[in-house]
Amino acid sequence: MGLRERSFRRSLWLYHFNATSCNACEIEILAAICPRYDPERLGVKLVGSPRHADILLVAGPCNRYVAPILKKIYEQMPEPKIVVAVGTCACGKGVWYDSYAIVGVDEVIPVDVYIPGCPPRPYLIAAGLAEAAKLLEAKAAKMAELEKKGKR
Amino acid sequence: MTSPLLALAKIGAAVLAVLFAGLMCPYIGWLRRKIRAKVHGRVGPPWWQEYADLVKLLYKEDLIPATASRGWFTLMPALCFAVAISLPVLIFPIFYSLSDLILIAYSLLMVSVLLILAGYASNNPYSIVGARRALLAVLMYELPFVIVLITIFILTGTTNIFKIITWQALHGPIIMYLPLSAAAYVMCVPIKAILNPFSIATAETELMEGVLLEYSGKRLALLEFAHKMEFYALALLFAIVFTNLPGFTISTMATNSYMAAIWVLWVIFIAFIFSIVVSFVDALTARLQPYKAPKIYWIITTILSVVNLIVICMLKIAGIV
Repeated sequence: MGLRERSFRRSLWLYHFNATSCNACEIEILAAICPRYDPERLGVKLVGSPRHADILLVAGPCNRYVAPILKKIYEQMPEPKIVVAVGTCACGKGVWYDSYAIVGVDEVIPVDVYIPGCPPRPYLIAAGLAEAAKLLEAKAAKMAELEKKGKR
Repeated sequence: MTSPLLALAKIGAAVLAVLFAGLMCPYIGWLRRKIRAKVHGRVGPPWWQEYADLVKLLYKEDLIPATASRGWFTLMPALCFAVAISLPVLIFPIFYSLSDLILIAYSLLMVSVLLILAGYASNNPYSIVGARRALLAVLMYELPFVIVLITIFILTGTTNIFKIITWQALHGPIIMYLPLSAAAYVMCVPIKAILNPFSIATAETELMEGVLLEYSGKRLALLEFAHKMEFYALALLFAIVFTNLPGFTISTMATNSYMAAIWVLWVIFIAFIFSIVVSFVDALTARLQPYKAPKIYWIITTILSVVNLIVICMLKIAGIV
């Protein structure tokens, strides 16, 4: 792996999106970012804009009102990007599995990493971020290969 | 003095200064994050974190929002970067006619103004509010900052960095004569480099990074780099203008390379201490409300700089300094 892919692996900028979540997952995400687990030593940083982000953290089941906004946010992120669904709701709608108002995150945007739990523990979120870092590295490598082919 | 070898050596020194500053900027950015982590009781990122961030940003996809004005959006980051990499050449005493306080003040202002224009070019409501706040910040710090530079001019009788260094070598560091001006200068740095007590222009939580909001990939890397370079340049300018070593005149340094090396190390050491102190304040304080900052700048900082200006004028008239 070259410098390019490695830098993708060790520099994860998160954008956190609340898709009609009940805030429990948000609190656990904050706990995962706080000093006890300190993901900044692995290069994790929360950013305020999807344009800067590599990883989209989605929590909540995503209702019909939020679905187009979630899609827009996803489209605003530059490639390569990874979507991490945090919590049971984001993974498979949870208790709202047959609700008329709920669309489901993975039906709106492609989800790469699922972190189940209601809410998931902070170390599970950290493990999910580590998985996302690997996937991001693989995606960056793929992009580099495609670029090389394009140049030839 | 005008031999081609000397000109070559000068160009080489300028390239070295730019390369060193380019390596230093991400390092100082890391230092800021590490100090913040230590204040929080965390481990913090490894030393190469900011380099990894920059490399990653260079290889991200290049997006131009449909709402942005395309020409300005692509032009501004490049211009901002170009002005920023010229700053270390201006501040280090390499070219006699370039190292001038007026030109340096203008270039430092130019980086901020191009950043503001970049915010306006992205045409996002949050960016425009951020750009307005950054403009307000320019109005706040520019007055005391220019008064500090005028005080230095009145004290030394010159705006040229070469002559200021020589003046300090003969009379002692300027910080002994202008302690209040030095304090005003230090107060101007956080708002000029958008650091915490006065980071109202790119408030991450309310404005989502303000002027940088719509930028991604390479352009974000260029803007971030320019922003860090501005901070590094301010630290360097403080080290050279306020705390030069006594006895190190330009002519002795031109003939004695050991002295020149010691001088460069000293300047970088002071710049380091300066950035550590400012980063520490950045980590300890919370962001002020936007309407509180102008009062602090227009009253405290301006009074500090004006008092020292008046004192130096009176001492000059009395013939003591």
